[in-house]
This record gives sequence, structure tokens and C-alpha cells, in this order.
Amino acid sequence: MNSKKSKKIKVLAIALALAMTAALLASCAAKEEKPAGEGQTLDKITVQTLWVPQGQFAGLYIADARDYYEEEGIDIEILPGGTDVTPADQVENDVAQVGVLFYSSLLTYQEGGYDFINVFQNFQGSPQYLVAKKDTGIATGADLKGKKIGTWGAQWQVEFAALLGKYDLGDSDVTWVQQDYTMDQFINDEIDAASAMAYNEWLIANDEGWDESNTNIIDLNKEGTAMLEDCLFVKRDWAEANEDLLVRFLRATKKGWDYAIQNPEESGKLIFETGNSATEEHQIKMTEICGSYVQPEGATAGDIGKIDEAKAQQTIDFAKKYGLIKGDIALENSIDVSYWEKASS
Amino acid sequence: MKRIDGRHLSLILWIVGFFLMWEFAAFLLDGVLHDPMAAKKLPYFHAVISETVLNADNILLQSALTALRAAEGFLIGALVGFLLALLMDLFGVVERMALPYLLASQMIPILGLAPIIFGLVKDLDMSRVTIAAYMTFFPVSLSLLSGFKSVDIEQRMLMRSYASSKFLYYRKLALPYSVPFLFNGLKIAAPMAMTASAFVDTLSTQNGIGSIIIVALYGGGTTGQFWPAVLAASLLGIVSYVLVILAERVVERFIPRAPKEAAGEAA
Amino acid sequence: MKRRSVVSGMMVKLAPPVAFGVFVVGFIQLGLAYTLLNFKPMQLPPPSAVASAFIENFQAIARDSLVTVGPTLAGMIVGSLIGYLTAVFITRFPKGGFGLLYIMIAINSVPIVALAPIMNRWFTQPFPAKVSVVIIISMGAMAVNAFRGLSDLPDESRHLMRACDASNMEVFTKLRIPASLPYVFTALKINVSVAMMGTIIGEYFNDNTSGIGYMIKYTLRIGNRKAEGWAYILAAAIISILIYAALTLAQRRLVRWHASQRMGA
Repeated sequence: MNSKKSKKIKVLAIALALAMTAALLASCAAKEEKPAGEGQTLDKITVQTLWVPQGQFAGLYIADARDYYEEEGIDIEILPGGTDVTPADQVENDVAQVGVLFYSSLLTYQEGGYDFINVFQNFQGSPQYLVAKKDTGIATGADLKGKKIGTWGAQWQVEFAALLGKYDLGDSDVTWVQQDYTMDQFINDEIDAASAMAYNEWLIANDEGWDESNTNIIDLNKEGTAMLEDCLFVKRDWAEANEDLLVRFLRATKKGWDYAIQNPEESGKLIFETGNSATEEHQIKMTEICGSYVQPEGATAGDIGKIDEAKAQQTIDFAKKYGLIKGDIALENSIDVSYWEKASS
Repeated sequence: MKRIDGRHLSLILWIVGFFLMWEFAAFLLDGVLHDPMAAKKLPYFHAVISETVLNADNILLQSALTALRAAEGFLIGALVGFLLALLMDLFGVVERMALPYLLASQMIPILGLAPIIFGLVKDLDMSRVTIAAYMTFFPVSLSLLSGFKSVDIEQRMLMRSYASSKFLYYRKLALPYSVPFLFNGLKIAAPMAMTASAFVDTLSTQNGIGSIIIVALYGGGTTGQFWPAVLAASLLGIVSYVLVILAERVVERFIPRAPKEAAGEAA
Repeated sequence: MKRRSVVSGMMVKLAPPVAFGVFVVGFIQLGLAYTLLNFKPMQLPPPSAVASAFIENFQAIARDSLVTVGPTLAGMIVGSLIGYLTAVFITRFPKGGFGLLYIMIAINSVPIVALAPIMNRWFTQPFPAKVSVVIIISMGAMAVNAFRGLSDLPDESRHLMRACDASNMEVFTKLRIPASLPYVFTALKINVSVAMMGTIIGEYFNDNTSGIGYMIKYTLRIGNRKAEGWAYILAAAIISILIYAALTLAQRRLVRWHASQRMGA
């Protein structure tokens, strides 16, 4: 061993030690950085969304960006969703107080023993399309026999099961193919009909040259088999203990959606800057389309978030008929409109 | 010194060759086979580089975040792995008792694990680090254990005949002997901690390299950052590997390998 | 006499893990895990619920397990083989091969969240898509370990071989390859869990609507089928333990000479 080598090793040792200390320090610093919130009077609420920051959750992001929550005395944190944790579990574990879920999917948690209630219905219908290239000849649910249909999982598939059921078709009449949240399989003809959210995947397909001119859309709302999607849910006991806070939160959220619907361009830009999850143009379109489900034609700004009991009941009925839930769920145990009503008065 | 230069030259040649092959394969897909998915299957290397340069600040920032969480997870995971291996070697019963369950525990996907961890620690960042540690302790444990078990039987007997204490046995014989095994485990675990950390980024797509990947995969219009993120993650993996090698050199300096002390290193 | 000792030996060996298993199952089942550790029965269903879900869905679970085991084994074997051959190459040509290990680590470090969708683009069929994911993530551990094993020779034997004027080929077959075996088995054991997880995550993304991974994703992302999801996790655990046990047996036969196998229990 010459001294040159041992010197080199000493330098290495020091460098390593330094790097490790730096990493430790940096991680400590990162943790302390969290803002404590200046006003002690603000009540903290964390919302867990379903997915990345995007126009789908415009009401929340706009209410945050325009300080509607702060005006109601709320210190808001919006946690974007991801692939490996569900909003239901985050709310159950008190990581978040409010979560976003499909109402259909919320039903499965209610059946599984999670004591949640739906307090605010974002989407007054289903923005989920089933799309097929025109040359496949698929124009309605009746044409799906023997076809390959792309699916994302239980809560999406059940709406298509209801569509098939309307035409007396069942699971065995079609082939389900797992779709990977892109439109690649559709574009490459690996599947005949693809799942596509009107506000997201459909726009991606449009970008790739597939639009109304060469593609058929099966709109579940027009087929009458739609189930309610995005809603806001909370733990029942949390809601009872924090009624005033929840009402204030819903009021601000409602205001956020109203602003987003009236100013989709500005809102889309704001969300783009928050999340950078899609292009600015995409976020603007997404906000606009989602707005059309939050406040459909004929509804007023005052109706935003209202839970339509007939539609909710239909969602429960379909969920039961097509096997998403096994038993019965009583509507009055599943939704609670009182908080929304107080927020709207 | 001469040998080291040759090695570095080889490394450079391999890297250059790899990127040339990448570029050529991309050309085959795009220019010869005219695959409509060419840009998604394997984009041109130069295109990935230019996207990386365009988004350099974001990629760097998110890489740093992921690397930091990976480092924390790795340190905890390595420590846990070390202690488990020691326990299993000390008490044969523990090994027979726990090993199948340790293996089984590795079969719990994050989807099943995350709610339980969140229930325990509540905090997003803590959960991320815990899960990254959870995903890295196993190779460390297994490697070190097989190191302990490979201690030369004659030497083991010899130590025993001196009636030396357990502590002395590990300090003088088992631990020095197992150093290469341990570092092998660490070499495997370090890049694994990186991919685990990128994985737990997707628990909430706020930040981190895994978050870029998810957003780019499924979002509209930011697909350009996908391959730069993949490239960055790979580089992080290599950096972590090299760091372990450097650490190994330092440790080997202080704990010369007992059985081979005399041999030294081939010049 | 020998047979009887084998049987009683088996009993002695199986007793501790079974006892530990009973303890863990009891700990959760009796509610201690829920009160002491704040686990939620909805998120971690009690063992009885998982067991009954396992029995109730046994046929489906067996079918899905077959879908998953194939690509796991295929990918693990091919990946480990590639890793080993790489290590042989690097050992044989240390100067020229040096960089190859780094390339391998780099490919090995592609996050699986990216790797699975990329392979899904390359292969439209689910089987090759899954196998390729497993190959890529299992070759690194083998390359690193085998490289160490191949170069980690007892000095006496190396000197002896040199003294006997052995050719490089002989050193390889007689000395290096046997010396690498303990390391190879360690890598294979690590790869059991790596490969199973690779297939499971591959199944999150591929076309199939079957397989353990698909079913885990399908059932754990809604609220009323968690016990079924955990029954699938149990299946994955059982499969990996079986593969691991098979490897341990093989190691016992192939590496008898090694210290780790001579000590006895």
C-alpha cells in the first residue's frame, strides 16, 4: 500500500461523510420548511383528490388560488392523487379530511365498513365515454357483442356493464382488456372500444387525430346508464363534529367551481401553473368540459354540488344489479345533503 | 494506475456504444420499420437529451427530491436489514421462524401496504421513506446472512475452541468476513432504493421523478418529460451504486478481510 | 432409522415458522393489531376473512396464479442467466467488460413504474411484456453477485491452479464457477421477490384482465373486496416461498462443500 492510495481513500471517506451529512441536513431542512400558517385562527383541511392536479378538480384549485378558503377561515392543502393509494384510505387514516371519489366507488367503501357520506356531488352525470373507430361499426351498446372493450377497473367497468345490460348483453358476450390510461391500445386497434373520459383521454385521442369525424362516441348519459362520478366525501363522525367547518369548506368550493365555470381560460391557466400535469391548452379545455358536468345545461350556479337523489338512487341500483356492491345500501345512509343545503343558504 | 485508465476507457466506450446503439435502434424503428409508435417505444437519444436540457431545472429538482427520500429509505432499510441478519445468525430459531415471513412480506404490494403505513405514521413523507426502506431491507439482510453462513468452518471451529465470546466472534471473524457479502447486498439495494423511491413518489403526484413519469404517461402534452425522467432515474441508480462502491473501499481499508489479509490486492 | 430422523428433523424445522405464523395470525385476529397499532380491519382484513376469501375464490386464485407464475419463472431464469453471463464476460475480460456492469445497473435502475408501461408498448401480448420487465429487473442482482463470486477465489486454490499450469478455461470450470455458486444462490433468492413483484406490477399495466397483479389492483382499489385482495397477496406469498424453498433444496444439493451447508442446523 503506498501513501498515495491511502490518501485517496481518506479523501473518499471525507467526501462520503460530507455527502451523508449534507443529505441528512437537507432532509431536516426540508421538513422544517413547511409553512406553519400565519393566522392561528385558520382551520386546517386537507383534501385528497383522485389524480394529478387537473381541471377535473378545478373547483378546489380555484377556490384555493382565489383565497376563497382563506376567506372562510380555512387553511387548505390539496393532496394530488396517485396510483398506489386511494382517497378513501387517506380519509380513513385522517391523512385527509375530505376526499374525492366516484360516488359509485364510494358505495363499495360504505359496504366495506368505511363510515363515509357523500356531501357534495361534483359531476351531475358521467363524463365517461365509450369510443370506437367508425370502421369498427360500433355505434351503440348493441354492437358490442364479441368485441374487445378497454377497462380501467371495477368502478369504470360497472357503467359499461350497465350499458351492456340495457342491450341484454353480459360479461361473457364481450372481452374485457385492461386499458392503461392512455389511448395507445385504441389507436393501435388492440381494442375495439376504449374507455375515455370526456375531459381527458378523449382530448388526447383528438390530439392524435381521432375525433367525431372518424370516431363514434357512446355517451352513457344519453344511453341512460350513467352513474354518478366525482363527489366529495367525509367521515360521518368528522362531519358531525365539524359541521360549521364543513359547511364553510363546501361554500368556498362551490364558489370555486362557479368561478372556474365562468372563467375556464383563466382557471385552466391557474391549474396548469399548479400542477404542470398537462399543457395549458389541455387544462383549459378540461376545465371547460368538467364545468359542463358540474353545472349542466339548465342548472344554475346555485345548483353546483347538489346531490340529485334520483340519480344517486339509480347509481346504487346499477351498482347492485351489476355486482359492484353485493348488498343493499340505503340512500339516506349514503348521502347527506344537509351540509350542502346550509352552504347554499 | 495503468489498469484504472484502461477501465475508464472501457467504461467510456461502453457508454458511447450504448448510446449509439440506442440511436441506431430508434432509427430502425422510426426510419426503417416506420413504426407509428416509434417515438413512444424508443425515441431518438438526441431527442431525449434535448428534452432533458429543455426541462433541466425541473428534472434536477425532482431527481434531488427522489434521491433524498431514497437515501433516507436506504439508510433505514440497510440498518434494519443488518440487524435482522445479525439476529437470524445469532439465533438459528429466529432465522427459521422469520425468514419465510420476511419473504412473504416482500409480496405485499404498495397498494396493500400504503394504507397500513399511513395508518401508522399519518405523514406523507414519512410514509414514503418507510415504504422505500421496506422495499430495500431484504437484499441487505439476505446477502449479509449468507455472508455470515459462509464463514470458513475451520476458522469458526478455531474461534469456538478459544471459547471466545459471541461479540469477539462477530468482531474478529464473522463481520470482517461478511463485508463483501454485505456490500454486495448494499450494491443491489441502493439502485433498488432509487426505484422504490420513484415508486413511492406516485403515492401523491406532487413531486419527485416518479411523479413526472406518471404525469407524463397519462397526462396530455407533457409526454416529453417521460424519457428524460427515465434517464435521470437510471443515472441516480448508477450514482447510488458508485457511492456504495466508494463506501466499500473506505470500509475495506479499516476492516481488512480476515481470511485473506495476507494476499493483498493484485496490483 | 434415517427416514424417521428426516421426518422428525422436518418437524423440528417447521415448528418455529409455524409457531411464529400462529402468533402473527392470532395477534391480528384477536384484534391486538387493531387496538395497539391502529390498523383498520377494512384496510388489513382479519386473517379469518382472508382465509375464507381464499377458500371461497380458490379456483379463481389458482387460475390467476398460473397466469402470474409463468412469466415470473421465465423472466427470472432468463434474467439471471443474462446477469450471470455478463458477470462471466466481465471476469474473463476485466478491462473490456468493466463498463458493461454499469450499463446493466443503469438499465436495472429504470423505475418499474416506467418500465412496465414501456414494455407494454413494445409487446402487445401480455406474456412477453411481463417477462421482459422481470428479465430487466432481475439481471442486475445476479450480475453484481456473480461477478463478486467469480472473482472471489480462495488464494490457495488460485495459487494451486496456477502451479498446475491450468488453462484459463480450467480455472473457470473447476474453480471460478463453483466458487460463484453461493453468491448465485443469494442472487436467485433475492430475485424471487424481485421477479414476483415485477410480474405483479407488470400486470397492473398489461392487457390481461387476469393474473394476481391485475386482481390485486382490481380488488384493492375498491372498498368491499379487500379480503379478496389480501387473499391474492397470500397466494403471491405462498408461491414465492415455494420457489424459495426449491432454491434452498437445490443449493443444498449443488453446494454441499460450502461452509454454509456443512454446519448443519
